Amino acid sequence: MPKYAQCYDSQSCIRCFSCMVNCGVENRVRLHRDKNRPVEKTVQEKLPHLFHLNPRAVEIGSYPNARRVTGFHHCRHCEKAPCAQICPSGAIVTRPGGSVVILENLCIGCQSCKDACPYDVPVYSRDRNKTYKCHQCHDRIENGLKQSCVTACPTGALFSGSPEEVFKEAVQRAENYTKTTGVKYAVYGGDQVNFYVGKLGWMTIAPVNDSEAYLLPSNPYKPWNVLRDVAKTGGSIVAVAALAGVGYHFMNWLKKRQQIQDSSSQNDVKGGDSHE
Amino acid sequence: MSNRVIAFTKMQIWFHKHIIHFMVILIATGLPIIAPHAFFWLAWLYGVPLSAMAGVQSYGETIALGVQAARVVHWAAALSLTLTAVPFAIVMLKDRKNWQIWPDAIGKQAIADGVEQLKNRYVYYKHAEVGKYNTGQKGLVWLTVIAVSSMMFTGLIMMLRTSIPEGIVGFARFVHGFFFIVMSIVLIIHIYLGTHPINRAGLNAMFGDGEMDADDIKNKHPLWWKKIQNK
Repeated sequence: MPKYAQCYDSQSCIRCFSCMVNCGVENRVRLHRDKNRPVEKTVQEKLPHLFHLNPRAVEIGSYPNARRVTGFHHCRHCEKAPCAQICPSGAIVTRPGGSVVILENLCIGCQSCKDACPYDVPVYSRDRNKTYKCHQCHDRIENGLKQSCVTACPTGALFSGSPEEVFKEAVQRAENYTKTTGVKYAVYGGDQVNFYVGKLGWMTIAPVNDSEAYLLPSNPYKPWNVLRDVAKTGGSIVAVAALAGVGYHFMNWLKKRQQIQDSSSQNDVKGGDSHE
Repeated sequence: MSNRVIAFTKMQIWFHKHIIHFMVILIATGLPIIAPHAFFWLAWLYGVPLSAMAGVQSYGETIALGVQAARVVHWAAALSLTLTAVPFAIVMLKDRKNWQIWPDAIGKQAIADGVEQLKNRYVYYKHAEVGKYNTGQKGLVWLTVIAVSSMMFTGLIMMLRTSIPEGIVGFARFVHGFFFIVMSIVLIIHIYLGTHPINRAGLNAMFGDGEMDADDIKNKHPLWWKKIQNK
């Protein structure tokens, strides 16, 4: 299975939200396909966790230069997937193509993934006691189709393919936007973002100065989770050292005790000799 | 004066026994949660007997079932430990005048002296001028109080996480994990030294009738012996 990636181009996006609608439709069709639910029910059922793309609009700048920017809140499919590393039940896996997927039947609803995700993506459903997030339509991709959001996009603002192809196209688009607008654009996630997430399976083309508004933090990580990992690594080393230390101490004590026993038995022998 | 001296009260013995089995359960069920990749086999062990009842067949589902079972048992053990700690805390607070876990002196010199006595006892196997508890044991008691209280509090935060801001939950998860690791390491040393032949008298007292020979106290805990005589 070759690796694949996708990219969101904020400049080509016309805010029609077809991607979001198709994401919801596709997930409802999955309920019909996989769980034999009637189509009517899957459409009517109120299941907000089946939407994995959430637009978040913010206003940036101040009057008269204020602008409205819509950032997309969704799983970035991190190369290092901290959610998969912290999940105790093995419910979060990275598919061969690179999609980070929560396996619903294995999720125990502990919400550990929420503590690890630097983008605050996983959504917990109290009704189902499960956590949900975008699975990058891995079932479609592995059967030769595009992601449902990519298929729905009328302007090509969402596109996918091999990571190399996608990155090349994204860089080219970012360069064009930089030239034509005079504002610097960059591809977020094509290169390693930081030590915590690595590269991303979902890249974004956005103006560099507005990256925070587009929900693209320059250094995404969860400090308490990093510290916890450091404590775990350090603790493992210290625990092994403690075990080695007590082992050494006990051997040393046995040796010392033997020396005392030997010297006292020698004294006994000497004492016996002197009596003779 | 009798040749036997009460070293540990019935309440201390009772609580110590309970804390042992609760710690075993909490560590055994906590390991597959804090380090799932290293201790997946523990989760598998818990999951296998339950998988038949739950109708689970796949390996992944067995692991998930085991982790879920571990979480439930972890909560039950934590609740039981908390309930067990209540009567112990009440009795100990009433008897606070007789506590011997306070430092005899404070400051750098006092710490250096305490470490020196620890070396005399456990490195050179010589006579050590200590009270009922040496510096290491006093440190262990206070560390246990701080760690266990923190873990109870942070555990509660994580249980009620849907009503608590996520930043606090993340911090609670770190504190819980940190003290879990610290206590696991400290327990290795405590169990070793507590069961070491040179501490046999204390071990027998803790797991027996709570009494120690006066001669043992005179030789190994001279400062405590002085206190007993002053009384």
